[in-house]
Amino acid sequence: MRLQRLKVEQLRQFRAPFEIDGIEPGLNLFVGENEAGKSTLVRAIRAAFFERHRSSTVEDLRPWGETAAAPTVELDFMVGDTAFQLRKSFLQRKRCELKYGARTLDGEDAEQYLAELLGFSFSVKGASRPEHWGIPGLLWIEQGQGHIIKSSVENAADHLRKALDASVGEVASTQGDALIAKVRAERDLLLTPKDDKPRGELKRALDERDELQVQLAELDGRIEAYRRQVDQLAALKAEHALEQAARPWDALRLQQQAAEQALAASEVLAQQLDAEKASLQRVEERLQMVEQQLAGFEEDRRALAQREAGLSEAAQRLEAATAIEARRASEQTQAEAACGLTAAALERARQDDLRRDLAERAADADTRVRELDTLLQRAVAEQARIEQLRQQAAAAAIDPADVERLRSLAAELEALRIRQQVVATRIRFRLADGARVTLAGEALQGEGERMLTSAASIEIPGGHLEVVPGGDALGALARDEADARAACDALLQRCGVVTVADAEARLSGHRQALQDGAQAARTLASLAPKGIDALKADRVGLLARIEAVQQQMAALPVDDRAAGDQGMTASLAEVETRHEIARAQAATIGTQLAQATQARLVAHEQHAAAIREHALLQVRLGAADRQSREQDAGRQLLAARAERQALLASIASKSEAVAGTQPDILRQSVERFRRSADLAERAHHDRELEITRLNGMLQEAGAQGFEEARAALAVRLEATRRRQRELDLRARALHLLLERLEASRRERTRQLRAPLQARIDHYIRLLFPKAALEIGDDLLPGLLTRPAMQGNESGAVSELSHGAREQMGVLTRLAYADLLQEAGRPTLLILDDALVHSDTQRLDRMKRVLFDAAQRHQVLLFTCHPAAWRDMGVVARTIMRG
Amino acid sequence: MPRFLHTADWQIGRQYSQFPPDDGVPLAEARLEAVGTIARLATDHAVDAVLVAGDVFDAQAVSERTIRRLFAQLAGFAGPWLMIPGNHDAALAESVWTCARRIGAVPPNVHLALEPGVLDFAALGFVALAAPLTQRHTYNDLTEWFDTATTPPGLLRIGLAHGCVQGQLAEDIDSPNPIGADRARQSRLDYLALGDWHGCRRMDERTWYSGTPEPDRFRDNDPGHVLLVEIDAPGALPVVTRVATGRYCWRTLEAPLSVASDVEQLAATLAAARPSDVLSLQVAGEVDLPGLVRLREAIGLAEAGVRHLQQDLSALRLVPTAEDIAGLDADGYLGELIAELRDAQSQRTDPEAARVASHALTLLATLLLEGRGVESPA
Repeated sequence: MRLQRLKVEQLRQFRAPFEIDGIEPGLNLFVGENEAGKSTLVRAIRAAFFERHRSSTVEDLRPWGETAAAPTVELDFMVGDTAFQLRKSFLQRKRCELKYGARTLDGEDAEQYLAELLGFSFSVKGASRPEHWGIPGLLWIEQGQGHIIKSSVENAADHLRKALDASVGEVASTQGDALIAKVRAERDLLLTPKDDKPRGELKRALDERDELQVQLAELDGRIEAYRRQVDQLAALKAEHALEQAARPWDALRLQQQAAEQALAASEVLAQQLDAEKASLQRVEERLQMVEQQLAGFEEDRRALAQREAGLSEAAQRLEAATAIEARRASEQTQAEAACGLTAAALERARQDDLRRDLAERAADADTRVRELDTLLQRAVAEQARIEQLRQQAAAAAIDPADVERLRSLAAELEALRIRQQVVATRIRFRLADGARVTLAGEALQGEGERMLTSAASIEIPGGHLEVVPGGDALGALARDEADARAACDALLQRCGVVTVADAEARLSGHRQALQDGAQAARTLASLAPKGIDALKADRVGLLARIEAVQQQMAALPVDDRAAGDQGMTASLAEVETRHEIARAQAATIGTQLAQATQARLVAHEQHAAAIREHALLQVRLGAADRQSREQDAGRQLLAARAERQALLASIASKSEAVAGTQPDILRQSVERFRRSADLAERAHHDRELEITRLNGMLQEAGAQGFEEARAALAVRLEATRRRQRELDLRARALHLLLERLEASRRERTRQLRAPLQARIDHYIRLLFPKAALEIGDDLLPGLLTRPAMQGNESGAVSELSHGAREQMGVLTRLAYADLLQEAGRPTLLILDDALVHSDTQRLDRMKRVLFDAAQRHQVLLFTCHPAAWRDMGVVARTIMRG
Repeated sequence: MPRFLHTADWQIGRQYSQFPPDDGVPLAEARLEAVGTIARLATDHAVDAVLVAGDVFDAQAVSERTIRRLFAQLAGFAGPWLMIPGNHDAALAESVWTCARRIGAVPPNVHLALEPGVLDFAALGFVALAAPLTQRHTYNDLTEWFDTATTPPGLLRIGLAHGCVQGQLAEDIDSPNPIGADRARQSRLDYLALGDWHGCRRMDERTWYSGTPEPDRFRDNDPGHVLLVEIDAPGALPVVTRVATGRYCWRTLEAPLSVASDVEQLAATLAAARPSDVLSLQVAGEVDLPGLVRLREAIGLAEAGVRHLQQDLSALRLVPTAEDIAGLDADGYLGELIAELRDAQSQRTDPEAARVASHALTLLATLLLEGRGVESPA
């Protein structure tokens, strides 16, 4: 494709017509300052192709503020050898006209033709978007979009494939895409696109089939129930007819009646048996009575004999008792006599005893009187001694304290004396015989020693010696001694004694007298504890008692027995014992006598009773009708026994008979047959009701004709099933087709890879010698491998810098352009301010690349940096605002 | 000379689940109309009685309307109709018959033998020994009692029974209800009218299945007749004549295709089909694309021309030729896909997958044929 002329009018800032003519086949450089209109021209070219002339979403083309504008683009271009003139105006005057060769297309036909020619599509609604731009979208690089390659290629994929199919060397399908679209549309009618679930007709058929199946199953259930009920009805009717004919309850009733009769007979028999048992009871009673009667007669006879024996026995007992009584009476007389004797003896013995006792008491009293006399005498003497000793003690009375004082004074004097001697001047002398020496008047002889306590003079032949003991002590001692001496003497005088020893003796005598007096008093007390007067009173008492005893003795009877007897008299105790024995014996015998008398009385009474009873019995036995009665009773006995025998036999046989009929079982049978008959009849009746009920139900059900309905339903179900199967098969076949077709298309697309890679290789070497840019199955640049300091380094294009990515994007687009050209498709490359991020070195290389591409393609390069592209060997056209 | 029409297996109430309702309803109607035809024939031939040997109704619980319509069809013949129940309409405790009687649909000239017994038509010169089915299935020979049944001398003994003559019919028969093979002779019957077998068939000189008067299945056993039975006198051999009654002709067309001319032949056969035909078309073998187009065309034409055409092409494989593929513009991978599907439909390991592949191939071919007109601007 080669653009030759471009003209815009009433389009953005180009309000006036602006035209570029003579556009070169290769590289064309358009320069202009910012907002000069470079991008507006690019936009004009895009709008001429991509936007529908009728579009209302191209307001951006309108010059600012000009509501009546009709933005217009005119393009002259060649495709192959065909010249095209496109004139398109928007908004106010919506026109599109395409002339080529001799043909002219208008409006949408023109637009559609262009779309297929260049390989893009239109937006169904609204402005054209990148996904519609197809191949031009890939080859016309918008400002700042050069690095975006993936979406551009994807958006162009369908068109590329269509355009390039022919170029891959093999025969590609010319109607594949249309077919795929058709198959997909057909398939998507039956299956959901995402998860292959039934939808549309298939879903309806499935649902209807399921619903019909449910309905059919329900109807089948009802038919089955209906058939069962019909069978049940048949069975019931057969049974009913059978029973109606057989009437089993009649037989049962007959059986019941028979059992009832048997039971009645059995009950009659049982009643008879009961009557006989009652009779037997009565006979037994009568028999017992007669037997008792006879026994009575016999008893009477036996009793008489007994009575007679009893009578004689009673007589004997009476006689014996009488004898015993007499014997006891004589024994009692003897005993009484003996007792009288012992009583007299006892009286005497008691008097003797009293007498002896009195005599002894008198003697005792006498002795006591004498003893009292002695005591009295000694007591009086003792009394006198006590008085004497008291007087004695009173005479020698001295105060013991005084004596004690005296003793201490004496001791003090002694002590003073000793101290004087210690202090005294000691004069020892040994004198020859004959020497006359006097000391203080004392002649000294021989050998000795004297103590001097006061001045003394020693007389010696020829003079004397005055010796004066030295010191004050002697003087003081002498004074103390004198004081003590004076006190002692005063006390001695007060006490009436001369010396201390006297005082001591006097005190000792006083004490002795007091002790003796006390001793004498104790002696007196032992002799006459209650005093002498008491002793005297005792004596008077004793004398009076003696008097009384003597009077008592005198009162005693005179003992008239010989003196010898008196000596022989047994002791009182013995006599008493003897008397006791005699008295007891007499009492015993008395008692025995009383008993004997009692026994005799009893025996007498018994005897009398025996006589009376015997007489009575004799009277009774002698009664006139007794014999006939006894005989009568004997006869009755025999009769009753015979009757009993007969009854027993009858009862035994009847019991057996009754037991044989088993009345309980008979009763059960009656009940059983009755119930069975009732049940049979009721069952029959119930069955009749059931038959009526079933009949009604079945008639009602049958009237609905649901077997016919089922058949109709089955027809529908079968049709639905058939349809569902057909649709299912169709869905699966379509699914398979779609799968296979898409797989094939994918495969076909992959086959484009090799030629694309070859073109990429061509361009990448112009950029980086020895580098490799790998094209993936998605026909996009993948890994870039370049020589580095050590070996090669690889990296994904997507991870390169913005500038490098833009370079790769331009390379890829050029490669695609080459492929498209080889496939005979129109190519036009437009770069709007591209490669601005490339450094000088890289830009130089990219210029090589672009220059190379421009050898094959027309390239329109818009830039605001004219200096950067000065070395492209072409004249730069300056765009000035119109 | 007493004469009878012998018929059976009317199967009234039958519906054709294998057909779409549009086709099934007329077929069901035709069964009812066949009865009217029989009545007319009976009158035309002035028969003494019509013997209906069971399966008058197809089911027990049919609608009252259907019952009334059936009996209404009998109006064309005023003479006696002797009917026995068969296995489909057995005389159960509650049955289509009790229903028919209850609603008063049974005309007085219809003699229903709902219990085994002798029906006396002395005035007409015959007695009928009827062996109706009183259960859906029995395993006893219900005609056994015919042997010992005594009838007045000088009257024809006509037997009516429904079941399977032992030892003579194929295995896949309708019911197990057995009938002694030599019953007519053993029971001294002049004629034994049988039902159950839907084809018209002579069992012996006195024993016949009349078959159903209106065909109801694709089985070529000569259905669609009634029998006109003429007997001179007791003991004389009956003269039996087939009278066609069937309106529709049920036919099975089995066409194995291998060469191109087979398709043309089949197309000719289909073109020759009559409006009364009910066809079951089973096409197997292989066909190329023009053959398939031709076949479809022929089938489409035939479908319009016959009562019903039931087709089974599941055993048919489309085998496009190289020319076919070229003709379809199936270049590139489409050509490869066609070849792949062609192979897949012939593989035996997964019949289901083969079926899908076959269908897919046909679809693909169809789509390609439809799209042949599309032009590309390039």
